[in-house]
Amino acid sequence: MIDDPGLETFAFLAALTDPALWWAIARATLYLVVGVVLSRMVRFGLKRTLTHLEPGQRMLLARVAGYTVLGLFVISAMRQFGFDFTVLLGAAGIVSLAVGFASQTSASNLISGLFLVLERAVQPGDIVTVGGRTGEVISVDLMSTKLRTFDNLLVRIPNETMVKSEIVALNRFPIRRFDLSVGVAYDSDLGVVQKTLLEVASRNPLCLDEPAPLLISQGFGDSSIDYLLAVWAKSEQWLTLRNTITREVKEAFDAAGIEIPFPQRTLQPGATPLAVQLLAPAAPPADAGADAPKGAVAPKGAVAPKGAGATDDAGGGRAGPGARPA
Amino acid sequence: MTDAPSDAGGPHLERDDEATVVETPPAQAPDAPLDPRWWGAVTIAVGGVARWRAGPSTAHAHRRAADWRVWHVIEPDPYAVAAERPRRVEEPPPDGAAAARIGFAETPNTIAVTPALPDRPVVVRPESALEIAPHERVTLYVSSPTWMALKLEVRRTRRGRQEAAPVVLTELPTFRPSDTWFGASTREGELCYAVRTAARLEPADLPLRPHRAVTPVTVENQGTTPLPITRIAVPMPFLALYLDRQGRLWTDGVLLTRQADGDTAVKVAPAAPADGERLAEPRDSRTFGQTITRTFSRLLRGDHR
Repeated sequence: MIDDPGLETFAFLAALTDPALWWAIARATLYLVVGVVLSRMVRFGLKRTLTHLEPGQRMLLARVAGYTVLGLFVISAMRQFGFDFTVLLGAAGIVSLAVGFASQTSASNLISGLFLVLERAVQPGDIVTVGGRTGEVISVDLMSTKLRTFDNLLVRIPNETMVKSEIVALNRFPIRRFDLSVGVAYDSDLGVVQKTLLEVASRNPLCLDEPAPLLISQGFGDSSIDYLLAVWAKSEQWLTLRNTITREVKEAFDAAGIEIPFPQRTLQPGATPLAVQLLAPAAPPADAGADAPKGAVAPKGAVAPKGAGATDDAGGGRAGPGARPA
Repeated sequence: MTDAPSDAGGPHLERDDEATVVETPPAQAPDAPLDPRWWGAVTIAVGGVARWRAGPSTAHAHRRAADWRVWHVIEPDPYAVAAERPRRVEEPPPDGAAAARIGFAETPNTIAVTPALPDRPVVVRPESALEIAPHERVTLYVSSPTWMALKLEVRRTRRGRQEAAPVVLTELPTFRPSDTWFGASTREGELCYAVRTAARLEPADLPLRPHRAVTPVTVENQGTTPLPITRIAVPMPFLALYLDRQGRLWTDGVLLTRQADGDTAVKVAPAAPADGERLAEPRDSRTFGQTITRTFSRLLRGDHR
């Protein structure tokens, strides 16, 4: 140990004038320059040659290879100054453990990102539904995947979530099916219904002729006889087909007199039928002739549930054909 | 039906000055036989309207000072028989949004309508089942709707010289066929147009439909079992369009051979009608060779689909 600052300075200057140091610096610089050049050549060469891979995969592999080459040359350059990497490697295990605990989430996302890119699960331009959100994939980065939703929001989904989630790609294949559920009234002529539905599909130019439209009877529903009309369209035209064919089915049903019923409920009072009783006409009050409209007298025999009383609070104005005496 | 002079209906662009308005022939008298040619060119002054009809399709073009606008209406009947060449009409332009609109500093005065074949292959489905007997060779005549290609002639100055260059305004179908998918699966294939046909076997039986082009499809069954024809894909972009003396539109022929081993070979057979006029070149200038044939390897869909 040199305690004298003067001697320390002298030793430093003596080291600087040592030709061996300059020779080491020159070799290290040479290693670095060659490393940078080789790294770039490897990246460029891989990008040009791996044309059969997706752009994301190509870029990832080129980067990994380039940084590996550069790292090896950096290590070689540092060895010129006497760095002993065996010590570093020994400590690497402990450091890795510490870093691993500290960056568990990031590492998980990073590895998930690698799998996403290599698996080609999603690609930029895909329309996907992930975790209930639908949007266009903007990019698949190492840490996260970014979606642009149709209301123009940016959604950043961690790659770990992407790997764990169910991903539905809506436009991966060139054609797509649209299923239209429709119910018709029980008194409809089912032959006419089926013919009408298939004619609508046949007339719509966006509806593919092949694969042929599919008409499936889904059985007797609560209020209607239900059908499923499954039609195909080019993926880009799917939304247009969905909108047009729904309108066309409604128009065709209207033209053919086919009813699409509302939900209906038939009320049953139980084992005994609902009792009715005929009411005697209420005696008009003495001054009723001045207030009530002409003919607005309580109908004879208007029915009312038992115990409903015999009052005529509407002045008889609601009496209609159904309220005639039996 | 009349045989019009060969140069009467060929699409050409008038080059007259703006002041001289040249019209194509006037409208036909109601009792005159149908002139099946619906194409041609017409010169229109600013503010004028041109109209033409092809089968179920009626189109109007309106020339304004800075743009041309086109309206297009298609009747539901795909087999409507009508033909009317482009001509100036004294009627206001139709209401509603135009199907096409193109702007110019100064609009060219001549609009030309030419027939064109569909831009995608057409998958033809015979209305009634047809089988080709073993070791037989049969020619089916199938018709497909044509497209109306609208062109404007724009004069440009290039290297000090005035040149005329046609600008495609738009293409309109005379009837819009339904889309269909033609491929091995729902993941691989090609989008085509779907057309139903009577698949007539005698050319004499063919009705004259001015807006449809007839393709002779020869099917040769070299197999030992009957070959049911359910669908035929006609590679329209590779075919040229012709006009025969009767005014019927024809395309090049297609030869499909079902070989003894079950494979299907496809060939485009140039088949200009006798004394026919070539109206349009194939859209795809590549030769319909082996590479493309692979795409169409399932061109003929029979029982071995």
